[in-house]
Formats: sequence, structure tokens, C-alpha cells
Amino acid sequence: MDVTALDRQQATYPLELCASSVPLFQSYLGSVPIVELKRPEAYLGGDGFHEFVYFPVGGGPEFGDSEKLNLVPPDAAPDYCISRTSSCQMTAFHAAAMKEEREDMILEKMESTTGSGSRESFTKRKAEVVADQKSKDKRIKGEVEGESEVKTKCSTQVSRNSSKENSKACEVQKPDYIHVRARRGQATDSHSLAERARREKISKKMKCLQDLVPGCNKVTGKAGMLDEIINYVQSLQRQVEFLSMKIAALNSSVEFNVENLPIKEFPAYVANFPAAAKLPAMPSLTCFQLNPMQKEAVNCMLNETMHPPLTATEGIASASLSIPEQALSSSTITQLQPFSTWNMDPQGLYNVYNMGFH
Amino acid sequence: MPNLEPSPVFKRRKTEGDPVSVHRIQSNQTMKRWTTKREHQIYSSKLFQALCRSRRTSSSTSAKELHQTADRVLAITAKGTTRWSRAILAAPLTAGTNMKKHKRAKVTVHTRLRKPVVNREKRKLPVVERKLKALRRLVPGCRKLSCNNLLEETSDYIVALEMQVRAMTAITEFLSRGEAQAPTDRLGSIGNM
Repeated sequence: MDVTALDRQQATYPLELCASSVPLFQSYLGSVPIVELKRPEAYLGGDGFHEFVYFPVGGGPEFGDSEKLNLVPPDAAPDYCISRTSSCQMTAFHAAAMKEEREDMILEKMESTTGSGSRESFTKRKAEVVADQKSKDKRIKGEVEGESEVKTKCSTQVSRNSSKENSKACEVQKPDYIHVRARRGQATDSHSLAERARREKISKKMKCLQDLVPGCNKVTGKAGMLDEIINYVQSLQRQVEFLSMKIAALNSSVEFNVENLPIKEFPAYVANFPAAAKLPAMPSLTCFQLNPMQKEAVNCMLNETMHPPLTATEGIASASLSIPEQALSSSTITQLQPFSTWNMDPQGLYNVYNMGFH
Repeated sequence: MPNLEPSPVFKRRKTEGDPVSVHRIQSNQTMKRWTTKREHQIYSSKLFQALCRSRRTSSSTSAKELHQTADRVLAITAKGTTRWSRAILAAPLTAGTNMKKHKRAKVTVHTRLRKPVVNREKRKLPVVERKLKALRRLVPGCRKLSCNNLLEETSDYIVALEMQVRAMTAITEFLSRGEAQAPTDRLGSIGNM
């Protein structure tokens, strides 16, 4: 999905918190000299890691232009730390890994230099980047890594989210490489790794569904759960159909002029819905904002309800009656607000008036 | 209910704090997106407006039209991030789905008659596959999705449907109350004149 790709990009780069982060992303990227990206390539093998620590970061995040950066994460290179400990052959993708490591270092430096409130976000971002990197070893072709080694090497980053790093098989849902760590004693064949990754993804999603669908806890196994899921979806769809029939029936029976229906009172109604309750006759007010003949009824009501209240209110209420038979204006409504002695539906009435007429 | 705004994914990650896979984050976001009160209000108000509009244009509202309208509004609320919402919006306003189902039923019958033994064995084995097939039929726009993506779409679809049910129930209550009280009020007021 496009969204997930964008999410992942957002995850891997320290961006401003913004819904439309892409333009920011671009501007962010644009500020970087290209030189620094080339440097990691010199660090094939050896103690490149240490050199990263001293990697000069000139005043802020410096990345290459977007094209270069796109090389880095999606290529999904293995963690530089892992490659170091296992002393793998350094190949092209290791350079990419180093670039990522460098980014992490840059992130660290950035945190120290900027010291902004978004530091935490960078930390978490970086932690996520590290997590993603940690889970990449499919390319290593089944080498089993000691997690402790990895942790010591990347202690600065791991310490921030060490608890999250404990999962032995992390997966990243991406259209490109799937990264799984082989567990101890299990086949490290690339095919079985792939299968295991796929199975784990599916089981994760099944767990999500299990939380959603009520009554799924008792059933175990894919088939049973799928049965429950299917039944639940069918029941929901049937409910929607039934409700639509009901609403259609109600629509035809209730004859009111739809344009005058106060939409604003409805959200309040809906907000109260989960609590179910007691909508103090708010819906009854729909009858007030209606056809002319129904407005006559409203005026009648005003007349009638005027009697119990005090004379002062009577005067104002009579003034309201002089309003022509259009929708009641907001001025009247504001005048009516202080009245709380309406016979009919006291609170509900003027609540709705407040909401419905603006 | 916590006031969870549908904020960008980044913010949500910050609050969650754990570097789970992107999918997990998205699934959490999915749930939160459809369960927030704000989304509920947005959907309900949009649906209500659509109802009013449809009632204005055509005098009679059939249940089917209403159902379609409700589904379309739901899909719009999804903001195009899920496949089922896009499928709902892309589908024309016709009732052409029944025909496809009939065609498929016919095909299966013929093949079964021709090769009873072999196909029976083959067909009974992938139990999960059959269920996935049924699920694909249920969720709109997911006929050719992989199991993986299908489950994701299903979870989003389920949460959205729940919200739709809640909102429509609210609307029916609203309308039924309005209907119940309006005539009595009118009568009461006229009687007191």
C-alpha cells in the first residue's frame, strides 16, 4: 500500500510532525550536501563503526538529495553491527547499512545539537530505525546471530528500546525484502525463513482480528477463527441492511421538510448514543423547524407555554410571535434562552435551539 | 473515551513508543481511526446530510438506495486508504453483483459432475482456502487479494462496519423519537388552542 510505504519512510527519517510530511521531507532532504553520503562507502569492513561516531555533522541533519536517500532504507541492508560481528563479506548492501548507521549517528548528533522538544521523537524514530535494521538479516542467508553481541554493539540505540528488541523474529511489512531472524534450532534455509515470515505475518493479523471479533477467543486455529470472522462480517452486514430498511421506513412515514432539519443537534444526539440514553426529547424539536403549517404549531406552542411563565417573559415571547412564519431567527432564540420554564421539553428545547439556529 | 484525533502516523508512533512493525502500527491506527468519537460524529453527520439530500431529490427512499448511500458515506469517511472503501466508491450504482455469483455457482457444479473423486479430494483439503474465498466474497473489492492483505482489509472493514451500525442505530432512534413525539406535540398544541 502506498500509505504503508509513506509510513515507513516517515518512520525512518526524523521528520516534522505533519500530516503532509512529504513536502517537508523533501525540503529536509534538500539541505544536505552530497559529500557525506559518500563517506560510508570508504568504510567497507574494519572499524567503520567507530569512525561513524566521529562523523562530523555540520549543524543538523544532513542527507543527500531524495534520490540518494531512497537508496538507503528500501534496500534493507543488514545491520552494520550484525555484519561486523559475523564478519561477513562486505558487499554493496553493507555500504547501504553503513549509511543507515551513519544516519543513526547523525540522528544522535542532531539530538544533541538541536536539543529540541522533538528529541524524543527522534529517539523513538531512531529506535524504530534500529529495530527495523535489527530485523534485517535475510540477506545474511540464515546466519544465526547472537543477540547479545548485537546489543552491545548498538548499545546506545538499543538501550532506548531494549525491551522491544527481544523479539527474535521481527518483520517489516514491505513489498521488498522480508526480514526474519532464524531461531535457534530451526532451519535457516531461505525458503523456510520466507515461509516462517509469511506465517508469522498472517498469525499477527489473525490475532488482530481475534481482538476485533467477539467470541473468537474460544476458537483456536485458522479455520475456526475464519469461520467466526465470516459469521461476524455477515451479521454486521445484515444489521446494516436491516437498519437501512428501518430508516427507509421511518423516512417515508415522517414527513418533514428536510432542509430545515437541524443537523447540528444530530451530532449531540450521536455523541450521546453510546450512553444510550436519555436524549431529553431533543428529537422532538425536529418538529419545530419545519413546514409552515408546522410552524403554526410552533407558534401555538409558544402561545401556550407562555402562560405559566412570568409576565416579563410573556412580553418577550409575544415579541417572538410577531416573527413571520419563516424559521425562527436566532435573535429570538437567544432571548428565549434564559427561559427554563417551558412546559413541554424544557432543557431539551432550548438546547436544541441553541444548537440548531446559528 | 479518550480523545484520539486522527493524527498522522508519526505522532501515533511517538505515543506508542515501541518499534513494532509498520503493519502493527497501521492496525492500531485502523482501530483508533474508526473508534474515535470524532469519526463517529463525522460519519453520522455526513450520513444524515446524505439522507436529507436523497430524500429531497427522490420522494421515495428504498432500503437498497439507503444502504448504498450509507456504504458510500462510510467509504468516503475511510479517505481512500483501504481497498474496500475504494471498491465501494468505484462500483457503479447498480445491483450487478448477483449475476456474478450465479455464474460461479454454475461453473462449480459442472466441474464437480465431471470429476467427482479427484476434485472432492482437492477441494476438501485446503479448508482455510475455502474460508478465505468466502471472506473475499464478503469484503468488497478483495476478490483477488492475498491472504495477508485480505486479513488486513477485513479487520479495517469490521471496525468500519461496527461504526456504521452504531451510527445507523443512532439515526433510527433519532428519527423514531422525532416521529413519535412530533404528532403528539402537534396534537397537544392544537388541542390547547
